Amino acid sequence: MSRAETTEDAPETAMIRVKNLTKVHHSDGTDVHAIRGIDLVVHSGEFVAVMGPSGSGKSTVLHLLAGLVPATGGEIWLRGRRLGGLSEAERAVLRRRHVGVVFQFFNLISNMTVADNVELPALLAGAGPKQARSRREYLLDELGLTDRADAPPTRLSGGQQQRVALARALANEPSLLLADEPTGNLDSTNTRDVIRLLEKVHDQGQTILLVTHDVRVASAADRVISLFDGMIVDDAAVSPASGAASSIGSILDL
Amino acid sequence: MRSLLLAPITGAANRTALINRQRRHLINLMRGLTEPAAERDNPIAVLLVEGARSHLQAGLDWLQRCQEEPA
Repeated sequence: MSRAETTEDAPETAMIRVKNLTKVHHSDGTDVHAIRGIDLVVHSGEFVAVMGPSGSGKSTVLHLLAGLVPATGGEIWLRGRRLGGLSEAERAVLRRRHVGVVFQFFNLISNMTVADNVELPALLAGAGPKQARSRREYLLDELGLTDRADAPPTRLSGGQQQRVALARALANEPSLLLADEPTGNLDSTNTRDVIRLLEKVHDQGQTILLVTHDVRVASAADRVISLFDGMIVDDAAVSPASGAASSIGSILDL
Repeated sequence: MRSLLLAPITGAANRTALINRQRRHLINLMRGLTEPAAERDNPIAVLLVEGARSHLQAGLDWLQRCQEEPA
């Protein structure tokens, strides 16, 4: 049975459940159909990468799942709770307690230090100062940012800000991490550090759904969903290729 | 790749299915590209792995370009 056929799973077994999701943007008197009827189930503990060309609807799906923008049609359940049935305040509480979001443009608070940016979500969710600090120190260390803890985000490079945004999203140990191009501004070494951290939190049982163009990030996932023109055109498990054709020599034609 | 380029002309294959198959193949190849810890200190091995990654990324980018082209 294909992944696309698993939409009838019980909501409580799914971290994310989406039924016939649509999103229409109204721009200059024209309707733009960004999402055209998506059905999707992401189980707890899964690591899912979403790929697709620019304009295929990847970021829109992520924003819809985070409850940041309203759907035009269809339903989304997060942890069994129907987003459409929640008030804005209830959605904010759900996000604060259970969801970490990494935005494409970081959205860090510029007049706070890196340390405070990362600790804030944990403190808002009810963690004690000591616990929030310990988690922040761990995350910044994992992402090679310990020496930037006291700097404001505006003094950091794009790649460093991106890693701070990831640390902030993970501060709460959310059961669901949603990330929009979390390695989009990173070089090879920093991309490797981010993938390692994602693999660690995945091993700890967190569910990850991220949007990426990077084959290296996608290959770390359990499953890759491909979007095109607002629809899912492929949904496949990732498994390592084996045999002579998969060797570096054959890839590079050495 | 030839079958992908010729699919709209010959009608012999479903272009979306070809793109999906090739994308899966590239991602699975990437998954199989391990970087043993010992090799991280070997600059030649690191360069080879990075070269293979770059090839796979270029292949994936090209597939997206094919996808954007009207059938």
